[in-house]
Formats: sequence, structure tokens, C-alpha cells
Amino acid sequence: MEGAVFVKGLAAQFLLVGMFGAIVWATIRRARGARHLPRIRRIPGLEAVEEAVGRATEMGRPVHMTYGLGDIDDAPTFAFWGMLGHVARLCARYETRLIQTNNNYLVMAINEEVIRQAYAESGRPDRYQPEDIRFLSPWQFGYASAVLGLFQRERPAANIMIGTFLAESLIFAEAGHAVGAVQIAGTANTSQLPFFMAACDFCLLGEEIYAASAYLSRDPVLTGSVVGQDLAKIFIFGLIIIGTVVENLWPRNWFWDLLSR
Amino acid sequence: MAREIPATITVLAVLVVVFSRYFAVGAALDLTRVTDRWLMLTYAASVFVGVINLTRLHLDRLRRGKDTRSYDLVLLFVMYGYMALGFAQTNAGVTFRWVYNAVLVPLDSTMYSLLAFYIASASFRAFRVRSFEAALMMVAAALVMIGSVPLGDALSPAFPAARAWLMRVAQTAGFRGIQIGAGLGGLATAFRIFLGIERAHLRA
Repeated sequence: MEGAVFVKGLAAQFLLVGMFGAIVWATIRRARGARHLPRIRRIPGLEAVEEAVGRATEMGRPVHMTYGLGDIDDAPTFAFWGMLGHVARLCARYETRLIQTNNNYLVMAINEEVIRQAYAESGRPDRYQPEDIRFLSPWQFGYASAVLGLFQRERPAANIMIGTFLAESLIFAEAGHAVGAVQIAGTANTSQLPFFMAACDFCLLGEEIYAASAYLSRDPVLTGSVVGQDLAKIFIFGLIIIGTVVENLWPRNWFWDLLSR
Repeated sequence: MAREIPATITVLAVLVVVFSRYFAVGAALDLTRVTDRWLMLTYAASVFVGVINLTRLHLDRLRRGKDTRSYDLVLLFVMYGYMALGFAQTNAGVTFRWVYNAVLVPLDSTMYSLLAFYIASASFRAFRVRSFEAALMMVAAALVMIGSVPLGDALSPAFPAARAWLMRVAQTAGFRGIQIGAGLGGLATAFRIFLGIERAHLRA
């Protein structure tokens, strides 16, 4: 439309995203001001990370980590990085090998830096093994078969899978189970969650993977952002309920018009 | 500087995408097409660097006489051989396509078919009735399986109906809840990156 500010049909979406951001920003400010914030509930999958690395240390076997088929611009890949730094620090502290496999060369470049930095921060830069960060294949099932082989040869005691997974999710999970690894998995892809639920010891459901970096780092500002995310979610769910009721009572009404602008 | 420059580029990229998606002027300028091209160029450059790196790595291993020499040779032969074939024939070439269809596709299908056995073994473990939730899952899975095969319909029309209800109502309700939560979680992560407090990928 001539002279319009917003793209047609996206004004309400922009305002909603803006409101969501404002709520998250407000809780971050509150956290920065060291003011009281609600606690994040206990997430067993994240609590189990240290236990899994500890078990690998006791058994003298490596830890394996993957983000599945995630790309550099996927939100779950950012959740993976949050967890990768933490696991790498634990592995450096416990002197345990961390094998990180890749199917995306751009993500791999960042993984190398995250792991290198974690080892340096833990005071063990000498323990960093660049050959344990492996590019296997950009091909989905080529990658899956390479991970299968790696599991048989290296027999990791812990297998942590956080990111974007498709059909290879169950191949990884069953291969991990076959070598007796403790398995922690999480994805936002609902079609793969049942496989992880069935085959893994701990499963992070959808949004829980995005809370990983805040939960594991105990950083108050990051925690504040997760609290803000939950408050914003309550607000959005409220809108969904209002929308459902109003739309069912008065189809194609003012509420519909408002959100369609 | 190693953190500030990527963080600044991130903020600028977010502003460009938001401006181009939501605002009429931005949409008319179609700025995301430019950023998409930059991303493609980054990928292309990375492939080039990757080929050089792989060659150096495997040649070095061959020189050092490691016990993986045969694998190194196969990798280099396949990588450069298929690349040469692609340059000679383009991706529409008969031999180029034959290698793809006769080697990669069957290998892919073989791996994919393994899933049937993995699903069976994972289901066997998951459906062991150890708790109320596991029992519920087993009953639901049994209903869906019986309702999906002709035998279920022959036994009673209630089985396909129960299957349809479980898939359409119970499952969809649960999945949508998770999807909305995951979507909002992704959005919150984007805000954290935009505000510079999520810095795991910047080595911070």
C-alpha cells in the first residue's frame, strides 16, 4: 500500500515481537540491578551433564558431542554452543577427551574456537586436541555412518546431542546405547523428540535447550533473560487463549482484524 | 576486538533483516537478498579453504606413513576425481549422475533402512511398563499401530477412530505446545544474541 510504514499483515507481528523483546529486556535489566528474580526450575537433563562427564572420566573413555545437522544460522546451534563451552571446561578440568563431530564446516570453525577457549580458561591449553574436533561428512547418512563407526572404535562413555536432528537422531542414540554411553539429548524438532525420549537417558524438550547456557553458567543476567522469556511466554499464551475464545464466539472479528494488520 | 567486531556485525545483520522483513521501505529495497548472497559467498569460500585444508591434512598423513594411508588415498582420489568429473561434465553429465545414483543413493538408503531395526529396539526398551507414563505410552502406541493396519479395521472400526483421535488431538496438542515454546525460546535466544549477553559462539 502507498505510504504504508509496515509490510501488510506484519504490523501486529512486529509489535508482538517488540513486546516480547521488551519483557526479556526488562528482566535482564532487573537481573543486572541484582534485584530478586524467580528461580529457573530444575532441568534433570542439564543437571546430568557433570555426572555424565564424571562417569566418562572414571571409565577412562571419551565424551562425544554433536549438534546434528544444524547450520550456522539455526537457533538450536546457538543453544549447542552454550552447552559446548560448559562441557569442554568440564572435560579440561577432569582431563577427559572430548570428541566433537561435525557435518557443517562453518559451525566446526566456531566449535574449534569455543573448545580451545574453554581449555585455555580451565588452565589446560595443553590438553586441547584439535584432531578430536572432526569433520565427518556434510551428507546426512554419511555423517550418521561415520558416527556409528566412531562409536564402535572410541566407545564414548557419554553422548551429548543438542541441536537440529532429523532421521539420524535414532541412529546416534541407538549407537550410543549399544556402547553403554550415558545419553543426554535435546532438540526443538518435535518429529525427533519421541526417538530421543525412547532411546536416551535424559531428554531436553524444545525450549529447554535454549535455557542451557543460562542454567549451566549460573550467570544472573542470562538467567534473567530466561525468566523474561517465560514471562513473555505467559503473555503470548494468554493472547492465544483470548484469541481462541474470541474467534470461536465471533468469527473474523476485531481481534482478527487487529492481528492481521 | 575479536568479540566486538562479530558482535557489531551481528547487531547490524539483525537490524537489516528486521528492517527488510517488517518495514515497507526495507521490503522494497530487498536487503535480505544481499545478506543471503554474502552468506552464500562465505559458504563458497569455506568450501575452497576446506578442500585445501583436507588435501594438506591427508597428504601430511600419507607422508608420515600413518596406518590410515589407504583411507587417505581413497578420500583424495574420490574428492579430486569426482570434482574433475563435475568440471568436465557439469552436474548434468551422464557419468557424474551415474556415480551419484549408483553409489550415494544406495548407500543412503542402506543407512536409512537401519532405522527400522533401531526403531524396534528403541521401542522395546521404551515400552517396558516401568511406570504409569510408560504404560500410557505403550497403550497409545499399541492403539496407533493396530489402528494403522487393515487388521485393526477388521477387528473393530473403533481402532482406526482411536488412532485418528490420538494423532489429531492428543499428539497435535502436545506437539504444538512444545513447538510454540521452542519458537519463543529461539526468539529469546535471538534477543540475547542481539543484546550481546549470549556470547558462547564468540569465545566469551
